[in-house]
Amino acid sequence: MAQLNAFGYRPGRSVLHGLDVRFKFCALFMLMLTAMNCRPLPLAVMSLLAAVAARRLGFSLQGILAELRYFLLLLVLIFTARAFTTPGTPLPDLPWLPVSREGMQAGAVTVWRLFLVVLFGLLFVATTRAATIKAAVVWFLRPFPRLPAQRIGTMLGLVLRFIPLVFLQASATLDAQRARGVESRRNPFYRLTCFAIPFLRRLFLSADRFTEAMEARCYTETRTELVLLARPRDWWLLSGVAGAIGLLWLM
Amino acid sequence: MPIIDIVTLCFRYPDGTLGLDRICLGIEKGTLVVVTGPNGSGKTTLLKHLNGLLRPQSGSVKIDGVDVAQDTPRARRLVGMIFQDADSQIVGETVAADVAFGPENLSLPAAEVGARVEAALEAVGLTTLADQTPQSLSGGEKRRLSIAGVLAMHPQIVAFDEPFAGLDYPGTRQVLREMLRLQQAGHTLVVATHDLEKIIYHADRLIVMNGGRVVKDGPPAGIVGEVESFGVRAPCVSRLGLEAQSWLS
Repeated sequence: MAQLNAFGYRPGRSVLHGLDVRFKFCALFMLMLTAMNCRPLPLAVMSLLAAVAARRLGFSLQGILAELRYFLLLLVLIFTARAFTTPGTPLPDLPWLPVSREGMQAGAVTVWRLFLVVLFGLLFVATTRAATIKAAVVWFLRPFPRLPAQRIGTMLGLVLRFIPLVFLQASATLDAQRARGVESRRNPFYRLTCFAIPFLRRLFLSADRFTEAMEARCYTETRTELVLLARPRDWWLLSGVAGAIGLLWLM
Repeated sequence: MPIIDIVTLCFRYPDGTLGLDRICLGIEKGTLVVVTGPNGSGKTTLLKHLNGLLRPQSGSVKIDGVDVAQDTPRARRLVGMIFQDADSQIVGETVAADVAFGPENLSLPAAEVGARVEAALEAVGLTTLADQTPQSLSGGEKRRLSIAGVLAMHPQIVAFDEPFAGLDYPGTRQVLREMLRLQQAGHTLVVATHDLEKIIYHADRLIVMNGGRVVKDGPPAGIVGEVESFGVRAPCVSRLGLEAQSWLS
């Protein structure tokens, strides 16, 4: 049985699952913008709410950290860069270290913001089917006559559908290499080459098979589209999020 | 008139490898035909011609009297294809969404899509798993999901490529049961496999391929004893001189 990972849709019947995807898109956009610009106190409130939602959806902190381990490395790099490059007061206990207190604070807040943005994205993807995301993209792009809305929507839907499979394939390739002792090789370039070639070959083969399977089932751009229905609770959500964000800005 | 009519079909891959060499076959409606042969003998290449995934370089393939090359969408509606790798044909994020993929491509009204999904899931016994992610299914369940995805398009012919590959005993029995149910419902089944043991008892006809050619064709009882000379292991019962038995008995 295939292992599930954090980047895919998780079937469920939660409130987030039931909301209209267009409203979720707008709410996500507002939340992400706010997370990137607000002060630490509102950031803490948003983090708490996101953590509660993640918990209710069955995510564990360890699971999220494990799935985001490569992103965490990027966050460490960002924190280090900010700490070393922002001018300010040296740390009193470590005066020899060329980092500043202000730099560490700025780095920590930046990392916090980015992590929260990713967490919001994770919650969105986990509660929204790729098919409805595609339908929403087509809906948003419809007013722009020169844009091939259907094609863009399909491409986005396929990318979202493929992300969990890419991770599964990467994990299977890594396991196969570990089983043959790749960890004893210290040269990272050698290891990267060993990983990349079979991984990419397998990925392209899967993409080929996937395309063939779609063709065999008569794939067309003029297929039956999902009907998106806005209900009162969707409007309530949007107004609620907008109101809450307004309050957070006042904090 | 046979429902599948193949006349002097030839196909060569872009790298020069011979795929099919002058294949002539007629397959009658409602029959269960097993196509066997070693790896690279042309079984999958032949199946891919039935619904236009590959185009003949010469010769023709007609489905119910119409050339596949002239009306490929029709051929894809009439010939459902179950691929060897079940994972690679799962398109939806849930079991129900995956089954709906085919009917949605036929631009059917949403209510009709819903009804077909429900009927197809019921037919393969996956109704209770409709909201699950396909990745959480077992091998046998994934194969049944592939069957449901094809059934929802109401095909007349179902082509299976190595349907038992990677399945345990219960999974094999589940899939075999579904295949027989399809045949009883009037579908024509074309099963490409080198694993004769599991299906031969139910086959109406056995076609042996080798090097892109049909080298034997006839009732299974008559030719199953000769398959080993073409690189296919004969079923145990046949090697022991016993009568074939169903895996469902």
